[in-house]
Amino acid sequence: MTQTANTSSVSYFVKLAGTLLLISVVVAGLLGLVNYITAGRIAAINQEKTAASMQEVLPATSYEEVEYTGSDALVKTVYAASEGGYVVEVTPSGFGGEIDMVVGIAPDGTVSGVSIISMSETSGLGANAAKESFRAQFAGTSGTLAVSKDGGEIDALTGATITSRAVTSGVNAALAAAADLG
Amino acid sequence: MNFKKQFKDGLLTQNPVLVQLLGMCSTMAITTTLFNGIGMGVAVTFILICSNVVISLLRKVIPSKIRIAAYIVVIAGFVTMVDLLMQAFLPALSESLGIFIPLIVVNCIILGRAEAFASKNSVAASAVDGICQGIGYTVVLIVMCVVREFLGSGTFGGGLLGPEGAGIRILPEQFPAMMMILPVGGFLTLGVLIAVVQYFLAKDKKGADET
Repeated sequence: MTQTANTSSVSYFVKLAGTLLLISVVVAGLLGLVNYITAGRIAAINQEKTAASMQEVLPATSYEEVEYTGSDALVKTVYAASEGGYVVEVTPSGFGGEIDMVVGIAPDGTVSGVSIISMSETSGLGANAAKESFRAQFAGTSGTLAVSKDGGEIDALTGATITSRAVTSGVNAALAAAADLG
Repeated sequence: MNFKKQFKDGLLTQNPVLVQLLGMCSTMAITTTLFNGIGMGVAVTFILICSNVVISLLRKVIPSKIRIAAYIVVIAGFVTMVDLLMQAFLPALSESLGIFIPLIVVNCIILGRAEAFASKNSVAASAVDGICQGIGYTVVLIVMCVVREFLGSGTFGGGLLGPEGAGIRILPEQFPAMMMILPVGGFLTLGVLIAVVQYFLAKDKKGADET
């Protein structure tokens, strides 16, 4: 066994490091290639998803990003729709992390629609927030909303109301942001 | 190389989840709908076959002192590739499995098979091992999904069938026990499943010894 005979020699360590380096370089190269193939598609899918959600909550021919000067950390970006009103992207925290959603605010200051871009809520429970029946409750509302358990008008998805409260707080943040901008 | 024995090992007698008790985290976390189970099973099987083949190819080149580091680099590479490809071509599945795809890197099944099998066997045998162990894992996931989805949501085929991909409703909405699709339901289902399989395996062994 030559390997055990010279385990402490410099050349043995060079061989160890060299082998690992070679494997890493090959893997990194392949990853770069896969990333090159997929990066464009992934970006396009995400953009498409956001665009589709924006169209759904407040149809308009174009959207323009406006600067949000308020201090609400839930508000990510605010877009002004070409036909009046705003689309606000908010990220409240649900049960399984951030819920990325857009809220459409009509020119009269009421909610025109809510759409969820991505979330990691429990499937079968909180994930039902994406369903039309839940989201439709927000349409036409304004002011400050709350789930029915807290004396509000939004029927929660489950008894625990974590996701429902999160979505409601997101809508509230969007309403407030739009009200600030006028 | 004995394909039949390897297949039986993967599916039952050496099942990665039920007998080797590997990869339990993902097994309990994602088995809430059938779609998740199948997606995760296929992803792990694919990565397992690839990593087994590559590690078997390199088994004489990789010095034993750095073998674990080398295996992890190879496995992480494949996992990241699958993650990116899934995001690009299967966005719905990628969204549903979320963090559990990158976590396949530390799924013990893959490192376990690399160390226990691929590093000692031929490329062909390692590929077959990857297929068989992967199928074993997938079958367990599907069984867990069907049981938990039925008891927890009252549906079958969630994410694939039914209106809005919500599955075909079997139990009326007020009956399902919500806890079955929460982590506690995962522990209960897996525990019962392991107990049942171990009981039959032990019985089988005893019978074989006596005859």
